[in-house]
Amino acid sequence: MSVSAAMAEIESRNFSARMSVATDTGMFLKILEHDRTVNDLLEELGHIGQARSLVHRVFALLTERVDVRFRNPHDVAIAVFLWALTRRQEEYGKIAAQTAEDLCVRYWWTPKITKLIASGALSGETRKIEGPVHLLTFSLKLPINYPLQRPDLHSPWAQATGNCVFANISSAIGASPLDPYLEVQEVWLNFNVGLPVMKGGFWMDPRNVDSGQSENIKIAGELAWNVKNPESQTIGIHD
Amino acid sequence: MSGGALIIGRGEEQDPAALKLYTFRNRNFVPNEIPDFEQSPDALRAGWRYAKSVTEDLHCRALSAMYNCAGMVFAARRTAIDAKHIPMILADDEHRRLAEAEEPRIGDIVLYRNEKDEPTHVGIFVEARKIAKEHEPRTERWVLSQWGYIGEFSHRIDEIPLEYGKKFEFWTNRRVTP
Repeated sequence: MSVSAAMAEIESRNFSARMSVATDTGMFLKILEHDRTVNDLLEELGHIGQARSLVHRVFALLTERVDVRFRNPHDVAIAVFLWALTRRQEEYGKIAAQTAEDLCVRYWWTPKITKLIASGALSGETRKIEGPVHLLTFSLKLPINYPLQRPDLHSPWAQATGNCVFANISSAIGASPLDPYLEVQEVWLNFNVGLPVMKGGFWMDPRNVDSGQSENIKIAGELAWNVKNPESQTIGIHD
Repeated sequence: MSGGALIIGRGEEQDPAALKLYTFRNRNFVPNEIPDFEQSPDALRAGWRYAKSVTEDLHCRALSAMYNCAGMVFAARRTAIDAKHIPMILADDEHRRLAEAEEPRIGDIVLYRNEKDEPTHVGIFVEARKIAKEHEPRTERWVLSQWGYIGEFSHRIDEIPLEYGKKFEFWTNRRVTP
């Protein structure tokens, strides 16, 4: 099957119906992995040009005008395209997923797939890291006004940047028991950070990392709303 | 605000958009996510056509993408619950698995599992039809279940999408019967 035929099939209402039988994200991914059309598409995405045109198609679908009363009709197609891109051309998948993340309102499967891509859970390959690296996990504790608003992270890709080999957010979980009388509750943002080992075996002490002021690593816990006193966050270290 | 950003603790107890759903005696919160929008009627009808391709003998109660199978059974059709939480709900709600020889009763729960024994789908046992086929009387069991995000159907117990697996078992919270 040609790439255009596979894309047309994946964008069809029948394909969306077939995928909608999935009970949850795990089953959605299992169905994808065994689908013949999706496998045809995966094969074609080995060519960089095809991957590029699929990214353009994702952007076109994301910006297409649709009936706002209902779930976006391209939800399944975009989720499948992002998954396929990440499997075959990871960088393209990430670029498309970051854009999708900002635009996917009224979607169901797409945000679940973008979250998996952001967490690295879909990456089939491991990256070779040059030189010795010290792996640390640490957490930022943030007070959040939970009962009034639904906190979200502006972008899971942009949380930690700077002089580190890699950094990602591994989880974001509420730390306090739910208390209806407590407006401000705590959330832990857990990071994995790989720090380069400096000359003489020195490595940067993560306790020097603050909420975005450090010259070495910028932890931009950009909670888009409702973070009260972001400067007061504390850092826990789990070496 | 962008609707697609990473929600902290999406579907967890602290998420104000999740249904406040707890197991029996408030033992545990059941993580869940309420779909924001219904599928369009055309998309739902396409889902119905697909379901009919799985088995002709299918009866539709409703077409909706606002809940899934576990949301239908454990949350009165108000939210979606991942299948992985079903064992926790059954245990907390003090259900017991019926023995092979024990007959299910209407209202009992049917749990489907895949080849890895993972829970995949859940429904409610609704009917035991006695039929005589080629002089051999037998009982056909019927189940009401929501297929993914397509719709809620009554179907023969073994006529389901392949993805749900072939194994099924009955669970009940009955303690005293007349």
